[in-house]
Amino acid sequence: MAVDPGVALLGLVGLVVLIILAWAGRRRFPLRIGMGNFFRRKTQVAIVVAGLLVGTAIISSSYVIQTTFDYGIRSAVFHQLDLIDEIVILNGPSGGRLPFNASVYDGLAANVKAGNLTDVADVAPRYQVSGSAFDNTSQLLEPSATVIGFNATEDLGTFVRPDGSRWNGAGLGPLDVIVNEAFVNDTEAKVGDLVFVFIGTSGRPTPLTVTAVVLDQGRGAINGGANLFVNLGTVQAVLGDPGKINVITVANVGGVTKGYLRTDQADAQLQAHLPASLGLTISNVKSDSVDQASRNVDQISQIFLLLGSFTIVAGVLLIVNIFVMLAEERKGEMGVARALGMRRAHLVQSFVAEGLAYALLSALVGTFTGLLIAWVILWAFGLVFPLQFLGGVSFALTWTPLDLIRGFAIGFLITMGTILLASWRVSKLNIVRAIRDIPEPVERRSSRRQLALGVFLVLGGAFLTFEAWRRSDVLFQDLGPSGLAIGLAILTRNVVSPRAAFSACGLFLVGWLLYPNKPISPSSADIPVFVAAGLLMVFGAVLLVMFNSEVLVWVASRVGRGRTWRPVVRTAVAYPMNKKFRTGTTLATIALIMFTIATLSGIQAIIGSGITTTVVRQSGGFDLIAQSNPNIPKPNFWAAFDNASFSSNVSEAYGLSWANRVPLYASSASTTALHNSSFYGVPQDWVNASIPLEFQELDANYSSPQAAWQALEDDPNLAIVDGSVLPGGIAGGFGGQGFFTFSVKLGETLFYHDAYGGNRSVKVIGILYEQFIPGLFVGWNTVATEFRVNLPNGYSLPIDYPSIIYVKVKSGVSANDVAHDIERTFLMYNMVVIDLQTLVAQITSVISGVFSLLEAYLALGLIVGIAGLGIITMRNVVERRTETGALRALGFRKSMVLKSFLLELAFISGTGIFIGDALGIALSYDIFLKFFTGFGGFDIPWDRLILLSSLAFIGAVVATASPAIRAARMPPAEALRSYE
Amino acid sequence: MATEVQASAENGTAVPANGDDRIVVARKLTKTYDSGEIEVRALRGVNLDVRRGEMVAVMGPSGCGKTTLLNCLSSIDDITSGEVWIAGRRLSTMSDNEKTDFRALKMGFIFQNYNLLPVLRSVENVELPLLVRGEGPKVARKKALAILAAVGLEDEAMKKPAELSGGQQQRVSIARALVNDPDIVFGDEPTGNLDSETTREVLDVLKQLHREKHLTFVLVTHDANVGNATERVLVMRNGQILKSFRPSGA
Repeated sequence: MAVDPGVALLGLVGLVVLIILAWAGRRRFPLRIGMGNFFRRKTQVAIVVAGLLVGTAIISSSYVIQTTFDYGIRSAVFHQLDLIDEIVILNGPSGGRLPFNASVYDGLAANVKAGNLTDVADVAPRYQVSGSAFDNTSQLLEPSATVIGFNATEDLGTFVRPDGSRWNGAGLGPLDVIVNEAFVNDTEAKVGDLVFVFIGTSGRPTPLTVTAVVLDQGRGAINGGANLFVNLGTVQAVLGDPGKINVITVANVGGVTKGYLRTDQADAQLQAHLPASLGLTISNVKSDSVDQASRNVDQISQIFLLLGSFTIVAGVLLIVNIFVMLAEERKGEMGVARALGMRRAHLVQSFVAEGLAYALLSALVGTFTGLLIAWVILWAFGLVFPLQFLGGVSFALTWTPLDLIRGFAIGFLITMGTILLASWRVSKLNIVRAIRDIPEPVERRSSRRQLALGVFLVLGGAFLTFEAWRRSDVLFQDLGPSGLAIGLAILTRNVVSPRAAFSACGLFLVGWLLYPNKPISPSSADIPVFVAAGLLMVFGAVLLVMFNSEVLVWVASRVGRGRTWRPVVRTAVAYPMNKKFRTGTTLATIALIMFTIATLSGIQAIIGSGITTTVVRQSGGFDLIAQSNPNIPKPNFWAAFDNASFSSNVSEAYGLSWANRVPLYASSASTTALHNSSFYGVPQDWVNASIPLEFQELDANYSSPQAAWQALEDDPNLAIVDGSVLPGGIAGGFGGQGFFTFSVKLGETLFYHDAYGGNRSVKVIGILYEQFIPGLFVGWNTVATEFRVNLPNGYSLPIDYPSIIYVKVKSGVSANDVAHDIERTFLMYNMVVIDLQTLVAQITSVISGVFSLLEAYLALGLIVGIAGLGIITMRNVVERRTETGALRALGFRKSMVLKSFLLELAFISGTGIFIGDALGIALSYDIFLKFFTGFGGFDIPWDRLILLSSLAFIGAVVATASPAIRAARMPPAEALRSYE
Repeated sequence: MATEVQASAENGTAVPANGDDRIVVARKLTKTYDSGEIEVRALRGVNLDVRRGEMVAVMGPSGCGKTTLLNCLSSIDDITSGEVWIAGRRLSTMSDNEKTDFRALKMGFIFQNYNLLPVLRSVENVELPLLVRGEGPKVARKKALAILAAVGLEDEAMKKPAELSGGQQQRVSIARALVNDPDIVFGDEPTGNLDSETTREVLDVLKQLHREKHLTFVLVTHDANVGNATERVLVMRNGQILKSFRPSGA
């Protein structure tokens, strides 16, 4: 039996605890010392635990988020598909569903009843098509409804009425329709209303009467959209397909939530009992949806975890910092203990025992804090994404004990591992120097260990650099040269000078990682590359700052005038710069968090700008795009348009004709269609549009876009295609069902058949950015002469009327109002208008919400930074008590002492924030250069950065000011009297 | 500003006046530490006069109140009752900031543990009181280097305290105490951390400065050598001055 990794990790936690306790063995005194130290200062314990728990909380929250999303999305799948586990369909050459004989169902049902399909519980026939429907009472249109022809007695599951009762739909007349809540929400339909349903290619409305409204549950929830249920015979009659169906729904044994687990067996049994000659396909809708949902959920939780890894690293730095400072604080007593015969191992033991208490407490509190964080994130997620955006799925906090166990175990092991290393490091002390509190001497020569580390990093860096080149690996491209540089700095620090070696190393790291034209294209870069680059860049920047502290002190001591300013600045800057390790790790902690926040803000700004640019390019600067049913002729359309009340608010309008679902072929002899596309007839005055659609690519034979558009009128063998045929783009696929499924190159020739069966072809002379209206743009006459629309009376007409209207409204006029007016005026043509500005606002709002959510998640790391600063300040106040007393004796006022401490805090947090912001802006500019130069400009989001940085700065200083205030208030004699 | 006090004598309480050569006057000085449970009377009605230019040592056993007396005289600790005048200014009428500024202008301090700021170089430590007084950085640096030269440390000016010996650190501390031309220098066990050789060197420096600049020194010490180097020794016991005498070396 496989053991869950969480349980295994918990076992490891238990083992670690046992080993530490067993290590104490007969000698309990190191354990007692460690525990004694833990309980010595309660405030310090609270701050340390607050800092340490954040890493665990991040891990724990990511597991809870994963479980919640997993449960939520699975529930949505079960909700929407109800009993349906598989469907049997016949795919057409263009991807659509073709009808097939209902006898296929009869055969299958007989076999199910005979017990030949042991894993299949039931099957049912349906004729299910997309269409639109118009409620005659409310005069509201639902442009994208699903019309489902079903057999009440055979269909799977039941409807659920508003009163909760279940009903199989029996008694439905041929002109009756059952509608679901989603349809009612869009059209305000109610029982008794007359509804006109448009399905098929006839364009003829079918009048039906609403006989029941059902909840979006059971059968009514299918597809999560607006559904209309009618008798199977009604759909067959309207579409002219008597005796045909296009779907067989299959329910496996096991019910709604367990049936999909038998999909493999059911699939095989269905295959065996379907007529092979028809080429029917079994689509495992439920298991595929569940699998896809699981993959999506994994990706979402991975994003949270990987972005949270900056906070986890910051937490690790904090642990190291805490233990180094604890060791400094206890240096004297440790020296005495060593002098009295305590071994180095005992010191490690006492620190590990203390660390064990910290790790257990912080992991425990962190685990449940993670639960709280997950709840907040899910709440914010609900605010960012409207319910319909997620297909009606709402996410309620869901977690299992295993989520918490995993979070606790991983958090504990990371904390404990770091504590072990930190304890080993701090136990190395010189007894005399420790007892007499003499500072550690500056090492003039590298130790063997440092040399070994330098050589290892150089060799490892060189190997990774070679591997990066050999495997074209983006991550190694960052890691290899960086490792090489750090190794070289360690090896040469005493040859040149530490300052020169590490400054050069820091400069190289920042420069190399930001260099936009590295040999291996970063197009495949993912979040781990971002994390690695971010960590290394921050490391490089901190090296630069710390090894050039003299410059900072010099600058700071010359900034500002005034009697009290100079001595305050001098002490405020000199102290942190003198404690390089302590300050460096705190700087890195704050910088790491601000770096991620600044980078995300930068990317958010780029995408926001990119969306606007893309929309302008794709829409040609028009405000509205109106789409109508292309199969409904529109005689005298422009006369009606000009006479309408809204026309006075329109500054420009152009209508394109539309022939839809035209199969395209690779050659005239080919019988397999590449793709079903649309042909749009461009009007002759299209070239006069004030803002014509922009081109991504244009045949060199045409000197301008206008020349290319004009050429379409002159030559019926030319076409311009929409941008969805080219992969890429940040806002692609607005309307692009062809996105990534069909690609075309400039100069390529596409073949098709006209309405009269003639072979035709067009050469592609340009590719637009446009993607709202996907298809081929040709001359008006090409569509008018080659394509026809079939009328219900059996006649057909040439497509010589507009079906797609590009509209630009006059300045100061509400585009949304005009859109509604157009929809109302041309309701009979099923006209639906896209308000581009509203669409952009919606997309931008969702993207902004997602980024804000991620930034808020990352900002949790600031707790680590603030805790780090708080601990430093507490330590500083204790450490400098007598010095503070001396300063007061020398003439430092209380306010000057306070200013000095606060300035020091401000200096560390400000420098950390500055490093993070600067690197974040630089990296987002780098990302802009690499990926987004064609999609808009680069704007630094100053307002957002200033706001977030100010909050971080004020939060850090205010939250950690309390010890500084106490230090300033202490009478000088008392401060001078105190000894640690 | 504290008011200048007039020369008078009331009930045995001498009050300094203009022209008076007494720089320190303390009358009925008491200091009680109250920790809530225990009340410690560190000073029990001390009366003390120190003349301008005088070098006085305060001696006595541990816990007799020497350092407390020094702290109260130098205004770095509050008194419980009584009065203290320093250079004619009554401390009890001064606010905390006024006392702080007064120390910066009129007093110098030498501590047993030197209390140099370890993160600053010697010259930076020395110039700190000047910067506090509002001197410009160039002037402060010039004066600090000059005073370091006077104590024989011109070559150690750019070193940090950790790079100096105990004696050198104390000489930097002395330089810091003298750099602002104080009226009086308070020393709390200035040789307490030094060996006998270094103690002699430091005392030589103090005596030379006293001789040349006519500075007033009030030094708290256990060391008889220090006492012998001064002009007057005050012996304390149980928070009171037991006796005052001129040492044999004076």
